[in-house]
Amino acid sequence: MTGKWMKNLLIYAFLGFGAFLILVPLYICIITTFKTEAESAISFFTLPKSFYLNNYIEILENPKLYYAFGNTLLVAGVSLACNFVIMPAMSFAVSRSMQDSKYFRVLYYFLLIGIFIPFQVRMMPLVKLMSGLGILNQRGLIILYIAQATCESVFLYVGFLATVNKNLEEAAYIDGANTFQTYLKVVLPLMKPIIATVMIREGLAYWNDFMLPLITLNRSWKSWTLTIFQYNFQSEFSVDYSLSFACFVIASLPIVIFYIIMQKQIIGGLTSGAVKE
Amino acid sequence: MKRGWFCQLHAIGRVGINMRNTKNKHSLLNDKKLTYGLFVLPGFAMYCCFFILPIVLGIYYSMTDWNGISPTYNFTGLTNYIKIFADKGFRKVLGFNIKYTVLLVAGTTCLGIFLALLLNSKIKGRSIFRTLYFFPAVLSMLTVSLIFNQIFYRIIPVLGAAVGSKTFSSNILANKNLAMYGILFVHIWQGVALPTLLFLAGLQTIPEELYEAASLDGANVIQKFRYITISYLLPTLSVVLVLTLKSGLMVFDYIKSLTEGGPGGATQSIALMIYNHGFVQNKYSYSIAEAIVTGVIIAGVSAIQIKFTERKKVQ
Amino acid sequence: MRKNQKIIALSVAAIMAALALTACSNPSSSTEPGGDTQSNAGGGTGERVEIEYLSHKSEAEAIDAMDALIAKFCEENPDIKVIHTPATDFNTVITTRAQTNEMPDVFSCTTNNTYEIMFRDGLIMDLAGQEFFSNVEPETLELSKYDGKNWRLPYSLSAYGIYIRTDILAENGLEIPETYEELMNVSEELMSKGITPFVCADKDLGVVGQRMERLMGIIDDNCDTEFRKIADGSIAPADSVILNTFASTQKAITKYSTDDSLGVDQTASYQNYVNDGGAMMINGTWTLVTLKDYSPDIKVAMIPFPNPTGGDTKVPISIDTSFCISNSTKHKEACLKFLEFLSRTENAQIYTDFEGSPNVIKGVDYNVAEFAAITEKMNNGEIFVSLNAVWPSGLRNEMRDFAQALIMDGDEAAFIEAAGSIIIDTYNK
Repeated sequence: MTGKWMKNLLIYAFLGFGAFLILVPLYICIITTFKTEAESAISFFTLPKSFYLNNYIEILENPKLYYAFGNTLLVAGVSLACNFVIMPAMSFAVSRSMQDSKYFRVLYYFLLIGIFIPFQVRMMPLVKLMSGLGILNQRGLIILYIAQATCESVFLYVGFLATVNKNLEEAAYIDGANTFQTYLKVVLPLMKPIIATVMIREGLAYWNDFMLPLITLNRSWKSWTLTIFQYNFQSEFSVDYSLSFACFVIASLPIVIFYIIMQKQIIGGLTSGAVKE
Repeated sequence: MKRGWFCQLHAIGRVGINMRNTKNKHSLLNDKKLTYGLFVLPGFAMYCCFFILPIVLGIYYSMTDWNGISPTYNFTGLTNYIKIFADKGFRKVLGFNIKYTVLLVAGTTCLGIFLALLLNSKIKGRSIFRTLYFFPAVLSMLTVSLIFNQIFYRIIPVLGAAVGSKTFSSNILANKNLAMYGILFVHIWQGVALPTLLFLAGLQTIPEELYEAASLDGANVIQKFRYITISYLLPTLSVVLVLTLKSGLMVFDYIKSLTEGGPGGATQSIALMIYNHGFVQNKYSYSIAEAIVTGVIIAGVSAIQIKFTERKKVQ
Repeated sequence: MRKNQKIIALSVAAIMAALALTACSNPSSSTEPGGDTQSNAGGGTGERVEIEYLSHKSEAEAIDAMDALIAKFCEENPDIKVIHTPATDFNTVITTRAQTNEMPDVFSCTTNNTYEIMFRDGLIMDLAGQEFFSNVEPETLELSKYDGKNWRLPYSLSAYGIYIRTDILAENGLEIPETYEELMNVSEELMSKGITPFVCADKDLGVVGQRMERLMGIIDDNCDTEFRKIADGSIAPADSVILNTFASTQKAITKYSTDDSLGVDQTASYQNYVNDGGAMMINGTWTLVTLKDYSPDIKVAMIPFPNPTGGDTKVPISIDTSFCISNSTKHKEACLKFLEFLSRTENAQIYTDFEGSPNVIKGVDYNVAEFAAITEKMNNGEIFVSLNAVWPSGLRNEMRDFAQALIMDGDEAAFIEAAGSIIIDTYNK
């Protein structure tokens, strides 16, 4: 009994230490947002003298923030929605055909290549292409996000589907369901945990992405996303930490809330486990 | 392949299943093929147009002498690639990235599995911990780097002085031997979240009974871990390895914000060098060639890794 | 079964169609630069013309200055609308724009080889013969040319020197140094009194590289001549006056900075400086506004960095902001009008008042007390163009890693050797 107690204590100790390491940077970020620039120059990690709200007010009063918010929401939301429709279906098709069809196996590896090619290789040609097609805007960015999501999504989904027993699908087929129905009613629900994980990962990536929005949406500040908006608080010479962090807090609030809501799904999905052998 | 399908059909027919079933199987097969095809088409089409096509263009540019802004350039074939292999600087930077990536992969996988085990244990409040541990992944890399820049500059030296350690009394990012570890710390701080989540998911697939059976057989903790836990985690491990490998070999944001490749070039990474060559020094085509060489290396190592773990998978 | 298949086929088709439709959506509304959806650029009535101005500076003062000027310009010219796009990471953005053939109509830039390449390749308009150039100081106008041609309207200058905390020096009974020897003596005195002489942001490669390039110019403003000799082999790097003098000067500065200067970035260095963390800071005129943001009552003065060889002390100046017109603009007249507007003295005055840098338009009243010593040198013509305008692209970028290594380990020979081979490689490309 004491052995178990000791074990739990150790676990709590480790987890607690880790939690501390995670919370300290967040604490610093938040207290800086309540200081003036001069105050943070003097002392960086003590509590603010008073709750200086000007940093937040200055940002909330900036019209650029709301455009940036809208753009980021649009791009991330639509990309995720499209990914949800396209990717699991595609991975299901690839996964179930891979063993039998040479074509699908080649397709799978062809899709995988994309993971390894660094972004820089396609960055500039991408801009030329999108500009030539006339979609160097939010819509174009969405298309790009969907296109590049194929590699990792398919990789993760196919990996997951390999652990899913095909018995349930076979049963559905025998019962007379066609492929689409089987996918919709049997496979998709089983994929919930991995879909949630991938969606969260993609959502975060889109919300926090800097490079691709920078090169596709620099035509006007009305097209900016939140990351570009936040980058403006850094000049060539110095960083206005208070404003930059305040902007970050505001920008990540939605994603934090979204995460807190979704994590119940993921954790719930995870603990119910995948289909056991 | 098509012949295989038909042979199967014929065989089934021979066994004497009635005509109706044969018809169904046939139409089911067609239905499968059609559905699979339709499922794959949109994603694949977009992938080819908006992903592969720019890459092909990029490869083409890497075989020219284009500086990125002039409207004219010349085709130079493999000159850039030959230059890369002769470039001592590229090899030095590659060496740094390899060292960095090895440490990153080791750190992330070990810590990830360790944390997943802890978060899987039956303790109270574990869902709060689970929520908390994933949190760093929610933050943007730029902001995380800004915060840690300040931590390394202001807080660590204070703690180091308090403990009486000379090396830690100054910004470790300024120390050419320790700067890499500083960057690694930040990278792992943020990067371990997703692998932990994946490992946690992987742990759910392990049947409890196996552990009990092993205990009854007299296996100790280490043996149980090695033969049960690791085996079941191999698929997840493979995925984590691929993702972390790429993340380490192409590390950019952290290095740019934390050390910019310094001090004195001690943390110069490939991606940073590509960025400098491409955007600052206007050696655009050369930078693309460097990126492609790096991509090939990443693909090669990942392929080896996947083949290796594939062999050891639990069936 | 059939019905479901139809549904899926239809929905896939719908997605494809939607994407295709968006791709072929009205080109003028999605590709026209500027964010104003009321634009009718090139419309039938030919009434209101819209031009995009992309600014390379993200500092609030510069943006406010341009906003004020743009507002005034639009008042005077109701048929022209100027859209001010601030640039995040200007380098990346302008390169992207160049590639997609969507250069902004007007843009500001600093002195950099990239823009000269753009001009040479026809992306920037040749401004030959424009009358508004007569309002620009002639010497600067000459300096701003490339290959004898006018491609930009030079506007504000930056100078480089040492910010001195006059109050700290006065408190310690020290005179403001004028020669290099005096500078070293003052530093020695300060150090003996426990005051850090120099606050250096050595963590920031940009700062290190810029300091290296400016110092080399201060040592010998004909640096190009000597570097070419190194490149063709007539001088060995180890015998180079510039490389040797710079190495020893940098070592001296490092000796008189804090031990942890390599861990200090720009923001931290400004904070240290205003919090009495040091008496001197080697920096440019652009920093004053930031210092005043942190500490509005700070007592500083900028002095020229004295020539370490004992020769003439000249102040490095750089054309900090210039305006260019892209060759692909559809509204040439409007853009030229805008540049002409900017070149007027009263408008340049507005800009200077906001932004604080010396201006090259004639008649602009520039009187920043802190820069008195520098302004004097400028008026006496004891200036030279900073080497970044002359050096081949990539030279500063590659050498600065070794300058930082020099700060780290003090190995002069290693720096000289590395710098030498970079010079040889770059000049002989």
